[in-house]
Amino acid sequence: MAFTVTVMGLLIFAAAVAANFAGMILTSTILGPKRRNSVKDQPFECGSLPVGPTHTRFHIRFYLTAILFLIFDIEVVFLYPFITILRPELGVTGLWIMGAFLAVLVFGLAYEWRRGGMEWD
Amino acid sequence: MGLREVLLAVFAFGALAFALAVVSTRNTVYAALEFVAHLLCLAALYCLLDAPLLGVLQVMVYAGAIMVLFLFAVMMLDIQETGRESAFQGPGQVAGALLLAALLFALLVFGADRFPAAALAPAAAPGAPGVGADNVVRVARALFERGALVFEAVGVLLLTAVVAVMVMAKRRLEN
Amino acid sequence: MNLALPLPEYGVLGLALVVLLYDLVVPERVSRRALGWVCALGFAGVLALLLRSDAPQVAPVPTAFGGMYVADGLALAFKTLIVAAAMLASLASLDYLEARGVRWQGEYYLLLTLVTFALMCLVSAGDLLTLYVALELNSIGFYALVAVLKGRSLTSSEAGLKYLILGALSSALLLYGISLLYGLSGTVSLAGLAAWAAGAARSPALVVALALVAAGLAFKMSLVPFHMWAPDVYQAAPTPVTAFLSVAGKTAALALLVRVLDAALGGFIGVWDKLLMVLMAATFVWANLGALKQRDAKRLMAYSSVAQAGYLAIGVAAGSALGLQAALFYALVYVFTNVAAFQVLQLVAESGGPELSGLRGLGRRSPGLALILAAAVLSLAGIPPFGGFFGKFYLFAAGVREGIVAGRSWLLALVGLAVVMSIVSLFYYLILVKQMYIEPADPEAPGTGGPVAVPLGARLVLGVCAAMILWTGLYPSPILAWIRQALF
Repeated sequence: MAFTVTVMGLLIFAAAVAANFAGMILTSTILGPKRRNSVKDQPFECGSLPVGPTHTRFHIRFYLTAILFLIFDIEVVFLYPFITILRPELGVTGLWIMGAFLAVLVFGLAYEWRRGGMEWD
Repeated sequence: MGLREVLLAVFAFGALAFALAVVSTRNTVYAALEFVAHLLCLAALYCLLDAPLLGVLQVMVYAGAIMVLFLFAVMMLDIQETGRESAFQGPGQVAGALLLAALLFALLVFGADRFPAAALAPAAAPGAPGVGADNVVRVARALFERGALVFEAVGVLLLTAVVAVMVMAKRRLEN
Repeated sequence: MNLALPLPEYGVLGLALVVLLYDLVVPERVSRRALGWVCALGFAGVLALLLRSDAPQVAPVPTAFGGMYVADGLALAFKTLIVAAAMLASLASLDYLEARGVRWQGEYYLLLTLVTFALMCLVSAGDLLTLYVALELNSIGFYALVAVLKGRSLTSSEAGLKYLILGALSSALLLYGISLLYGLSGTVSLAGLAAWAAGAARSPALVVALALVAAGLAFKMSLVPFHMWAPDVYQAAPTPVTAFLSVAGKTAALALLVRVLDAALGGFIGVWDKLLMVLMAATFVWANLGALKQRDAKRLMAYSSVAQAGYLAIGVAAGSALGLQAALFYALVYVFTNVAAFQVLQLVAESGGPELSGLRGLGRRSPGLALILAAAVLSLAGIPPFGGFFGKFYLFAAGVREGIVAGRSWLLALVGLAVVMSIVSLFYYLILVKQMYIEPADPEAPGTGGPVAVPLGARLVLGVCAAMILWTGLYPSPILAWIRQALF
């Protein structure tokens, strides 16, 4: 019962969002002036072509950026559930657990910084 | 079949269809967006399976942050220069891939079709410690009370990954 | 919670910290060669700690972190082997890296310690989660170690990439199997799985789960057909890494097979032993025949290592206490024998190149090195008086005994195949010996003149290994007593 109610709420919300989007696009389509030319038909995405082959080679330095980002992303993800039980259940032990984890990550950061991992060469 | 099962099936097939689209689309940006859709379907599956925290994190971390990185990388690529070549070379590779996929699928159907409902572990009884508590709290307990060792190992894993990626990706100047 | 229990792991982690700090503080122009000695000494200290600690002899094994870390005799014995291999690998790396001018020496030693830490956690895993995270940790470290020669050797990068892709695939298979097992049993703890397996019904889903887990573990162990990464990776990786990967990676995988299949899922031995025996039969035939036509010395040794993994798995397939003891003894012999062989090949390749023909005339140029390599390969082939003979003898005996006692005729047939293919393996091991002693050296070939230079680090490695090859062959009873005590 509770599950169905939750899902119904979500579905109604999703329908409202879809209707809102469709309404906005439809309104601008109906009301806006339409003068087509070849430049307007080209897709535009921050100045780069959005269409092209997907099976290309990516430079490995993107990987470096990704991993640097991922580490701190994951850290934040862990911090959230950690906070919920820190005071009532974990206590000082919890601080040691998280402290050790963060210390290891800080060493990783220090290493990457020192070795020039942040430079785009 | 209740509402939950219907939704599970919808999102499971959605996830599969979008995953297939990611690898078959020729358009880089479309592929990235299909990947977002695939990840959102997975998030919906997690929510339906009573793991809302995982679902929310999936949206935030994967569909949000990691996809921004993907799009960033896509934008930096000079996609005009490379030729349009297929990922597969020749019909032999396609046939091999299809054969392997069919084999794995048959194996899973064979296994899952007879997945004995009785053999599945029963859910924890109501009143057991942790049951009925907030989902986030349950995840936190699993993570920091029982799984403290794994948690620290993940920290070391991330450190190893940083060092490994530096070795692979950086060019060190000769002195 | 007994937080002091994983003391050896803390030691290795502390060593990693020292290496990292040294690498960060010392200016870049200073050579990192000293780190090799730091690592060797650190590992020697941990090794002493492990050798001094006694295996628990009473039933409730000490655990920490809610049963996720197990400090039983099996873990202790395998950790001793892994740390010994790490020590030898650091000694072997010293001059190898210097000679190639590798820029990533600090990272190299850091990754070496981190991988060792991961392997130690792996053999102590009391839980499928610990197991999986530790497995990923050691795999990621090895991917980078294999590719550390990038920029100097294209094949090194290629091998790293191949290893990465196939390793990711095998991890996915293993994870899928683990998730199915969890769905069926409701627990990820190995002790819990053992209790569940004692009474659970067999179902097709269980077969799929076991097949996926076995495939994932067979990849790490490099059993045919999950061995295809091994020849390329072993050939192209830096030789000390090849030696370390082939001995420490393989012994840890063996410990996993024992823990997951024998200990946790022993109730289903009738299901997984067929899967494992098919893999092993394929390994014996394919690896031993494949080795016969190799021209590159390291590639030949790669095929040899794949075949050796098959022999080690006999102990797991037997599933008996005797089989386990035999597998552990053979793993011990294999660690020192293989490290010795790779160390000699590494030294010879510096002047004579990677081909088998580079060994020509070694018997006259450096009789000591030739003798050690000959002893090592004859030990691998199972010729007395070297340790490999006893190792194979115990393994085959354990297999035959279990086959007769439990009436498992397939196991008997498998041991028979192993004996036959072991004789085939003698051919390619003798090719190495023939190159050293019989084939005439080409006077025109570069670097075939004088004796091969043997630096201090390599001297230590060869001394330890040669002593162990002889000790395990001539007087194995103290070692067997140590193994029996560990596996009570």
